[in-house]
Amino acid sequence: MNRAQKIARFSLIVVLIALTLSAIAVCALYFVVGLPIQRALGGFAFIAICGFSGLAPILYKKERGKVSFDERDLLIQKKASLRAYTIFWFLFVLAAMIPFFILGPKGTISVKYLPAMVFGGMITVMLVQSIVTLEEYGWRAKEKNHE
Amino acid sequence: MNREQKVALSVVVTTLAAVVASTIAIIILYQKVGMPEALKGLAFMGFSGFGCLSMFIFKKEKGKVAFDERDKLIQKRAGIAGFALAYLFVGLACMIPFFVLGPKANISVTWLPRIFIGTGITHFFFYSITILCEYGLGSKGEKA
Repeated sequence: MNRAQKIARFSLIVVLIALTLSAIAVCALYFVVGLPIQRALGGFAFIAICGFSGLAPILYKKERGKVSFDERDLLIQKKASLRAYTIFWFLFVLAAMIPFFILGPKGTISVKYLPAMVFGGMITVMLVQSIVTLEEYGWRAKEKNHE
Repeated sequence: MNREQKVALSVVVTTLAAVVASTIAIIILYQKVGMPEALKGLAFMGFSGFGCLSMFIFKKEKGKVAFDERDKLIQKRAGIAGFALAYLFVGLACMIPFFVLGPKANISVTWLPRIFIGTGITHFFFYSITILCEYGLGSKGEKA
C-alpha cells in the first residue's frame, strides 16, 4: 500500500468515526436525554475529530531516496479532487437553494447555517477524495503499487 | 488563439466588466440611498452571464481535431484551481457574516442564492484565468 492510499484510508476512517459519533451523540441527546433538537444538534461537535486527518501526512512520511509519486499518482490525485469538488458543488447548490424555496424569499435562517455549509462541504470533499483515491488504487495493497 | 482561450478571455473580460459596473453602481447608490439599498447595484453582476454566450459565438470547427491530451490536462488543472478558489469564496462568504453578526443572529434566506451565484462566478472566473495562464494570453504557434 503506497503513501497516498495510507493517507486516504486514514482520512476515511477518521471522517467515518467523526460522523458516526456525531450521529450517535445527536440521537442520544434528542431521544435519550430529551433535549430539544436545536440543543441536541450540539452533538455534531464530534465532527471536530475530522481535524485529526490533518495528521496523516505527518504519520505517513515520504521515504527519502524513493520515488513515491509518478504520473499515474498525479492523475489519480487530480481525478479524486475533481470528483470531490463536483459532488461538493452539487450538494452546495442543494444546501443553498432548498431553504430558499422552502422558506420563500422573505424567510430568515440562523447565521449558524453558514458555517455548517462550509464544514459540511469540507467533510464531503475529504470523504469523496479518500473514497475515489482508494477506489482508483484499490482498497488493498497491490504489487504494482510502489510498495 | 484556440477556442478555449477565446472563451476564457471573454469570460474574464465580461466578469471584470460586471465587477467594475457593480462597484460603481454600489458607490453611487450608497451616496444616494444608503447601505442596504446600495447592494442592489450587485444586479450588474448579471453581466458576467454574457461570458457564457462565448461558447456559442466561438463554435467548434467541424472536421478538425480541436482537443488533445494536453488540452484535457489543462482543463482538469483549471477545473481544480477554479473549484479550490470557489471553495475559498464559500468559506469567506459564510464565515464573515457568522463572525460579524454573532451566532445568535438571523439572516435573510436570499443570501444563500447570492452566495451560490457568487461561488459560480468565482469558479468560472478563476477557471478562465487558469486556462489563460496555462495556454498563455496570445497564440504560441499552436493551431486550434
